[in-house]
Amino acid sequence: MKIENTKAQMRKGVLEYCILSILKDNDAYVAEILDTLKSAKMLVVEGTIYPLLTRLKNAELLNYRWEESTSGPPRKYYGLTQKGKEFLTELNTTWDDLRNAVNLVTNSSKNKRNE
Amino acid sequence: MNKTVNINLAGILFHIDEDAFQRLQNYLNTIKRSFVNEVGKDEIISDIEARIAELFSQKRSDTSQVINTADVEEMISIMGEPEDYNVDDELFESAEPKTTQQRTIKRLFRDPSNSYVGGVTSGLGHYFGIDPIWLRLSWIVLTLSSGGGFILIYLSLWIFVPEAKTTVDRLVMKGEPINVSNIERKIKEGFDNVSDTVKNADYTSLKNSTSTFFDNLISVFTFLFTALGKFIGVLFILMASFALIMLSLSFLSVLGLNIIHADWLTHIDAMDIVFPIWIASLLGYFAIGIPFFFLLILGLKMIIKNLKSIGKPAKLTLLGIWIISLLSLLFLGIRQSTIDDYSASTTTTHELPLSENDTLRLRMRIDERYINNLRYDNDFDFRKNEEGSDILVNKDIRIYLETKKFGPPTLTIAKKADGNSYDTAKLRSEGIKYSYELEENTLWLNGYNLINFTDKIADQKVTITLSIPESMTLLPYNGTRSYNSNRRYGNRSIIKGKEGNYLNFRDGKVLCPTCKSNKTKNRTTKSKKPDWENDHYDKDIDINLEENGENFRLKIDENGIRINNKQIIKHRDWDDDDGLDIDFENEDGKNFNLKIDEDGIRINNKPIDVKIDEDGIQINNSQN
Repeated sequence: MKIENTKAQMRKGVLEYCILSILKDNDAYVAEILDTLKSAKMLVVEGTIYPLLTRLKNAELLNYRWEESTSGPPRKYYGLTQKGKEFLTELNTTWDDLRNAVNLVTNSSKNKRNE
Repeated sequence: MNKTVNINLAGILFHIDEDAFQRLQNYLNTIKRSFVNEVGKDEIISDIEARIAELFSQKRSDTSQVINTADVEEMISIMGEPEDYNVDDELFESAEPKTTQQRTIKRLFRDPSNSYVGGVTSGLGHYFGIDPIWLRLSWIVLTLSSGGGFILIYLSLWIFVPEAKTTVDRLVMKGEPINVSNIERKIKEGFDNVSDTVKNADYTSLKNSTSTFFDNLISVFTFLFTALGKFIGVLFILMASFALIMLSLSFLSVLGLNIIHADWLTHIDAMDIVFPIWIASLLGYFAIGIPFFFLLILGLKMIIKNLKSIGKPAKLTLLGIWIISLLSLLFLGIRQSTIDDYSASTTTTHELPLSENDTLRLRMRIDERYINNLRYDNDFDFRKNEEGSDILVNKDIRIYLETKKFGPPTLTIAKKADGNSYDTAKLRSEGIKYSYELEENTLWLNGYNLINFTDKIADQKVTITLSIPESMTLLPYNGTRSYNSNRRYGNRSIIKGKEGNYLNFRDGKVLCPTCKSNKTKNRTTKSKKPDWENDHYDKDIDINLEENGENFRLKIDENGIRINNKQIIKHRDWDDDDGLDIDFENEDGKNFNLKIDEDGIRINNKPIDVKIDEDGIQINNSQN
């Protein structure tokens, strides 16, 4: 078992949640989403995001509009749909529970070690 | 120095040098391939292309700058290797998804770099992991032993199996994992001798990755189902190609054998078919061939995953042709069924210049040219007439005899034929050539009908009614027997069975003083069997063989059995219901009488003691 794989998987597992969260307040195009994810070190390479965006869009959690760009090809601005917002709310709860659970587990084991 | 290529990425023009282009193309192709089964794959690809365009645009300072390999490499480092695009759900399933993620998908391609004909065999070699030389040998053996049938399979594989054009195709063909490092390796190795140098070292990694019992079980089942599918696929291919070959051969023979003029073809020509035979063949070819063609493709699809499709237009066209062929055949079939809806006859009556007290001899004329061995009345045969053109011959001729009190003898010839309209039938009936000849007192009737080839087979028949005054004497020759009718109707007198005798007539009855006893009549009334049954009694067996100057003659008739005029078995009375009673003469000239009836078995009136029981048959010869 390689540590890189496990890391990548952990990241991939919450990637959809992160993408939806980025789009919660304002629409963004791919490069912006990528910048946020990359700066948060959620993503190492960009490739992963394209199939994910398409899947989220096909699941009607996202929609997009085209906007012309001055420096390159036209950009797809993604935004949350109503369904996407509901989905995100649910994921938020799940994430909080998960974080608490993980904290609880890791802390208790840390505490044990400290004792 | 480097050549540049112009490419269009997401609507933006880029100059890219050739090496970088090759690299970029392979990268994109590899990504495309990894999304083969993904919903919305085109959209993903165009998104990726748009992002690459964006990255390239940021990279270059002005639009004339050329993208080089380094730029492409940098882009790939940002975007990630093709395997990084994979976000499959399997990430929750197994702790070691990476090994399966690089799953070696192996597909059938044609290998043009190692080909003799179409690269099919070397492609199959890669697919099955067999040295192509063995497959080439099997092709030769199979082609020879199947009479060329496997050529068709080869051709269909050639047509439908895609050629391994890109490096990715080559990797998939050889079952090597597709990742950029492999692609790069392939490019470095060069396209032309790739196949010889690369060993398929990566197959085993897949096998090792599955370890648990259930995994094994599942893989066994999957294997069995796949094998079954492939087996059925092979079966379909064999069936369909065999059918198609047979169909094509018969179609070609119908079209081409006119030159050779096969006998059966004449039969087809002579049929009254309302449309040319080649149209019917073509329609039949489509109606039967197209389903088999689809079966062939289905079979190929079952064994080859990445089969090229023949395309929707081609499919729809074939379907259309098939439906049209079926409908046309149906229509033609209906038309064909109406060809004998009408019958017409042409009747001519001829007066025979004979006096009322003459004796009229009735004979059949058989022309050597038209002599035939047709067994049934509705059989036809093909001959040449005097001018050398084709004619049809049949012998559907019935002779009826009518008697009248007074008046001259007349001969009525009714020629009848069928057609899809009355006019056609009428014309055809007139086209029947039938003639007779009166030589002194002998009336020669043709024993055959001649029919124009263009009139086709249309149930042509000739009915002859001979009407004679009762004062005449008639001698029908034996040759007329098979033509004489035994149907009673109106004034008709039945002379069938009385051939070879002088016949007189009184009050419509046939008088035959020389006819053999009245047995025939008795039997008719006794057995109440249909008339034709009695024909058997009228037929004697007379076999005459001559070899090396020696004669052998076997004659079986009402009088018994004779060989070389020596009586073997004398008939006493076949109709005696009391038992079997025959006279028998052995080689020494001694006569024996064998009688079997309810009293037992007697020879020369001496009872023979015969015991029949579970042990068998025991004969106690009382003579000893």
